[in-house]
Amino acid sequence: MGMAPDDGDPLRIAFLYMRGGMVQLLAGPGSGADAMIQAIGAVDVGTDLGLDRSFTQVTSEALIEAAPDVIIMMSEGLSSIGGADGLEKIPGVAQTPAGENQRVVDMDDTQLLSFGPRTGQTIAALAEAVYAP
Amino acid sequence: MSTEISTTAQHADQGTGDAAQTGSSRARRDRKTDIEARAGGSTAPVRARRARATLLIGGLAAALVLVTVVSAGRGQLEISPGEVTGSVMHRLDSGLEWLLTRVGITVDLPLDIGSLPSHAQGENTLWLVRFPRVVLAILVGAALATAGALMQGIFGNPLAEPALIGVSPGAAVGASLVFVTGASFLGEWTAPAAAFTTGLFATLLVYALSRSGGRTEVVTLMLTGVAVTAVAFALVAFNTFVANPEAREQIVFWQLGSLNGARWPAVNAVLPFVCVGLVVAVVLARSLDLLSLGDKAARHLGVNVERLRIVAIVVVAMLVGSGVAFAGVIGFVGLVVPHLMRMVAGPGHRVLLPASALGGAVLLVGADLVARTAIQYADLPLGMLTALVGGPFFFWLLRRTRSRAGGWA
Repeated sequence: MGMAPDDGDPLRIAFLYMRGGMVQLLAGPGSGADAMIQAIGAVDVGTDLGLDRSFTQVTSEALIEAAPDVIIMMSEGLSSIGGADGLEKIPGVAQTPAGENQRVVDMDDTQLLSFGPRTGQTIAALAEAVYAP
Repeated sequence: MSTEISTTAQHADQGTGDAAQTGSSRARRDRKTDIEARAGGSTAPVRARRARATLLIGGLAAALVLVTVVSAGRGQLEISPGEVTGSVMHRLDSGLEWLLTRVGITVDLPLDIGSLPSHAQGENTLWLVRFPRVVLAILVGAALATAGALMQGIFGNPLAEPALIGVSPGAAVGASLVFVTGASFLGEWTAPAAAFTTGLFATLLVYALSRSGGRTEVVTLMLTGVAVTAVAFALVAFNTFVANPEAREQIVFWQLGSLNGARWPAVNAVLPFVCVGLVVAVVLARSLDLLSLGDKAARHLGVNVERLRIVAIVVVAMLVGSGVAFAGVIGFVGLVVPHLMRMVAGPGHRVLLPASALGGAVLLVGADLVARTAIQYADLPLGMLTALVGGPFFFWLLRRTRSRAGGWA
């Protein structure tokens, strides 16, 4: 992807699937989100941590250990926990670089993980949101 | 109560075994000693039991401190026990110094020992993520086990469990309704508040429905609980059915139980309920002991049985409701812990209730430690773990009681 800076380490990105306070799934290999994140030249933290399933209910400390620079969420998921302000209150999120710098990207639920003719557009939009906000 | 009765029965059996004629008088004598012992005379069994009780409470308190320290030192983020201690001492030191400054004394206390966590987020992880979770585990565990002991006391039935009078099924109805409708009138507090309210409502409904002529029969109460629980599960099932996939996930995960996401505000919300519940429970202890003689006997001894029952039920609903509101459904703690404590300390509620509170806290802190560390990075369902350990253990308890004392019923 042309937009990813060539110098330095690639960005670490987490795709977090949240619903309310109780559902906190981190995407890993085979989730589709990993492919999206790799497509824009970043590192999927779920895969990097060594998660072995597509979505894993993770502990707050797993998020801190994963240390994502950016968190991607579904728009509905973000609103279910009270938006970006609510996300800051989730234990573990505020302690990541993404939480400290408030770098959260939310995307329409139907768009993010549905691979098809519009996938190119989605990747381009994601790259823009991440690298050139 | 049940253990006491079976012990007495055993004495009688031994008596009749010796000689048929003297059997009954011997049994009577045994019973007399038993009564004297219970009246608080300085007989040897009483002293032994008291020593045992002190040992149990002390041991449990020590175990709780130990399991808390171990639990606080374990997690995905590596923070050594020394660093945990160092961090706590650092806060204690600055906190005390701040307090002393407020009253006009400026000193440099020598408490700031040990090293702080070396990880950049170590301090935050400890104080904002791990400690609230451990403290919530203590509170919820104590609440569930105390509620179980209270229930078994007021129903005089070893099978009584908070779930039986509809607290947790009722709470599940409120929580699932919030998830389905997406209601958010209280923000993040909506689901816990709804769960607490419906849990309390279901319990009061059970009580009101089973009451007739100013009295509540124990068996009727428990069977009404079964009926209300069935309806509650039906409502949860309906909510699960009509929910969209996302809400369905919330309902499912809520019913699995977890302490992930515990924060200090949740701890602060649960704390007053648990404290009030524990204090009232201990106040009720004497009346509960009298109630174990039977409703009629207790009434003759001046216990207002109906009032005792409703106060105890409200306390149980408060304890369990506040616990499940933030943690979801966590089963078997309320059933197993009191039984375990009764095996060691005997049936007297003045020891049983505090021992159960401590035991429940120890159990849940331990279970939660397993839930968040057994599989790297994953948060296992806490309710699953307690039931997985509690079920077989309860079965073993049943078999043991059966072979030793002829069972409970």
